[in-house]
Amino acid sequence: MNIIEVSHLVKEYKKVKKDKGLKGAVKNLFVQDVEYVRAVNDISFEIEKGDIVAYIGPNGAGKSTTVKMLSGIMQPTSGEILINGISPQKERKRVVKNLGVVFGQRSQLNWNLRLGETFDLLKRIYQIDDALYEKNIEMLDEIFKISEFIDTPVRQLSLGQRMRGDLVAAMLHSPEILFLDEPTIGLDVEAKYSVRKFIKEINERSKTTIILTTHDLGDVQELCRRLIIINDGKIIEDGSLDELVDRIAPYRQLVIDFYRPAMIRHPKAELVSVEEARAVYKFRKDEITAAQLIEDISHTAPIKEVGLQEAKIDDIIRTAYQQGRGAEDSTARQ
Amino acid sequence: MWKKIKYYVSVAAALTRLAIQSQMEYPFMLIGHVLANCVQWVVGFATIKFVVDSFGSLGGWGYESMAFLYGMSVLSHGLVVVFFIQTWYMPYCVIEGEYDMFLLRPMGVLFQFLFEDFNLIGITDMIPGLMVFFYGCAKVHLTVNFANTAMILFTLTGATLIRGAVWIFCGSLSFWTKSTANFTDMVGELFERVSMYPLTIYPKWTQVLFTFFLPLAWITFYPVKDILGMEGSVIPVPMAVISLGVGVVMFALSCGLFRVGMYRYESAGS
Amino acid sequence: MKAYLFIVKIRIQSALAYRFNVISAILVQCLFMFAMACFWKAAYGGAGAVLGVGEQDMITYTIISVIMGNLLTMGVEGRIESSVRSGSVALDMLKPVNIYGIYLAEDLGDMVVAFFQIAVPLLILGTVMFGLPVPASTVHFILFLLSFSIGYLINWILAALLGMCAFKVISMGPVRNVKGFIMKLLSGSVIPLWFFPKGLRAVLEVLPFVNIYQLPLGIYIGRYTYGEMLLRIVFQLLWCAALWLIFITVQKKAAASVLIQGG
Repeated sequence: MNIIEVSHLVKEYKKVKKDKGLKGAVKNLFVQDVEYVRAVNDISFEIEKGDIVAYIGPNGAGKSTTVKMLSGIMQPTSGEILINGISPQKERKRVVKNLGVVFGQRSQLNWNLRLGETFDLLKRIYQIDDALYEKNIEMLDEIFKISEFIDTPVRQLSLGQRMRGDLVAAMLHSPEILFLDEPTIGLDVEAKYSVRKFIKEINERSKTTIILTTHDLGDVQELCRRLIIINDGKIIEDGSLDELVDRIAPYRQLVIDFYRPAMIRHPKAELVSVEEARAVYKFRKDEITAAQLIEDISHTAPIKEVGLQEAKIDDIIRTAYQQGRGAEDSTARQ
Repeated sequence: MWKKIKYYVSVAAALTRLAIQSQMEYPFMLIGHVLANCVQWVVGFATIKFVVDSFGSLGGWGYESMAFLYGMSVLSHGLVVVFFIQTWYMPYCVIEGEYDMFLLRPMGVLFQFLFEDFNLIGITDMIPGLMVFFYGCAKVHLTVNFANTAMILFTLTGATLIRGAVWIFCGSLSFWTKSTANFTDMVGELFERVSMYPLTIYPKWTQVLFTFFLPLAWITFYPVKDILGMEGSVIPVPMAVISLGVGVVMFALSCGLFRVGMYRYESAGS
Repeated sequence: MKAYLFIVKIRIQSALAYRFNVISAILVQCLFMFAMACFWKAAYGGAGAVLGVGEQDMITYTIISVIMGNLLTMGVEGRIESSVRSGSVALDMLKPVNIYGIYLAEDLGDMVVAFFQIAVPLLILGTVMFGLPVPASTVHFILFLLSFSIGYLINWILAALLGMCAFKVISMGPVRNVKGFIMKLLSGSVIPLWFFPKGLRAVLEVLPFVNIYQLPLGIYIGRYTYGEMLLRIVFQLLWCAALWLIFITVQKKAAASVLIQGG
């Protein structure tokens, strides 16, 4: 069942052009040039219940704009969004009841007060009854270990603790959908690791559908089954990470250390470099397996050590961004 | 319906409690404001006394009735500061996208916004307000009875709603201007001039303006005139009741404007 | 010097970008001016001169006072406060120009903008409503300009000193409120001190605040004799010099405290 359905979503911004210099400032007092920019340009996708989806793209690609429209904060210029079959634009209150949203750069916790106070307020706003509240707090405490700092004023929490607090605040009313906008931004390695673990656990335990935007590809690798890449307001990739890797970077590299320098070629692999006793091969996954390649080569010369290198995810995503832009350019030229 | 009211009251109470708690974290700020406001309003009143002493009367109003008028004005100023001070930050909220958080919760945005920052510090404005008000009551020898008390309560409620409505109006303009202009600060000045001095000092057309088009004269002038029994009014309804009505209507209108502005906020994004 | 002039120009440019602020400022200031003029008209109620000042002179006083109020808005206190709060105060001290010189240049730039954008329209509107607010004579006008300039400096130094409070005080809100109220009431900007009781007036006239509004305004409407004017301007200069010395001392202390604490 699709819990989120987005079809032909468009968001146009009005942008006022400012003229340069003192003369321009005087001119702008009377006339202003307006131009329209499409931040989101005809996007459609569906998300299944219980999925974790990464929504990524370079800065200014339209990620936040999409998330804002999905969560009812922003009105689309055109197109339709259905969350659980309801439009957040038409029935905001009904939709957000079932939504948890965390912005990594902005907290909804009351800065001056102990963490628990904000939870208490949210309990009232979302009309969570006592039994469910107790149950949720207990479950969330098991995952996030918030009881350690629930009585500390928020301003004294570390960034990682604050993020945990924000995640709990977003989950209190047991929403079916969780939007996370850069949930690991600014966190140290340890905090990042635990936040990812928590997100995974929430998804497994309560079958919460999670959509996260991020620049940290570690988040994508660890968490997401599906990846939507957007650039210049358009979706350029949509699928699993493995599929993307297979398509964009089907090559792998095999590094072999021989006992003595050797120059061995193989019909299905390209010999990239030879340095003393170390040779590097590049091959396509679909043409030959690594095991086969090693076996073939070991017939010719004894192998001391092997290492297999996958393409780096950063490089893959960068390639995807560039390809997306290239496609855009070519369609523009036509 | 009853359930809905109970729900809103419980959230309002929770928000208010949190706001008070967080302000109590900074007790020195509170004390500073108490001192600053007392000095400001009491001395401000003294200067009016000096002028009236030099001239005898102002627009047909003597010192005693002006003291009562001033007291009502400062008191309603205190009330509006307590309940509506957040509206001053509306331009900031619009530019920084602060309303996003409220939109994500299943409640009215304006409701959450108004109660989120219940202003304890504003109570410090009430202290000099009460001082001048009781002084004014004594000066005009106001009899304490049910009718007068009710009229005063009506007036104060109406005055707070009118002032709050104007602030919401001004704040909502930032949905369109996207500017940080501290417009409300200047409008406060206007409130002072219209609500602390008798309206009769202004030319006729101004009186009409402040009665019907920019109904600031209803904040204090008409109801006070009525309470003091200064002249027989043409309308049989007490002015304080009309004042309350004007307040309710203006408040409803300002909420409407906020709503339209909010739609624009949602369309524009930040 | 060129750097400071550039700052003045930049301020003018950025102020022009906010046309809504300008229009609303003119509108509300105009209303305020109108309200105060009506206040005095009602108070005089056709009476000739009260305490030696006629009705028209009092209206002139009000119009010029409102205009002055718009020229005397100071950004320096806010700027010092925010640089202390954000901690950029330490960085500012590394810059190869005097940071207070920059603040003054910015405020002067703002004043130039305010003059054309707000003061001139207000003068026109005031003239339309109540007649041209003419000074007592050319000499009075020149002395008014002199006295206004000294008053500007006094006001600026006071604002800068207030901004310095940010080094010590956690919340500037009340401090700023008190200052605003002092400016409004004790400087004679709204109600001239000659309406105040004698004893209180004697105290207030010694304080620096009257030198910002009431002295230039009194000169403008010709309230003082030449001898009195000269004496008062000398006194004004003395205040300016004294405040300047205080400012230098405080600023040195503040700089030292920043260097010790590391901002």
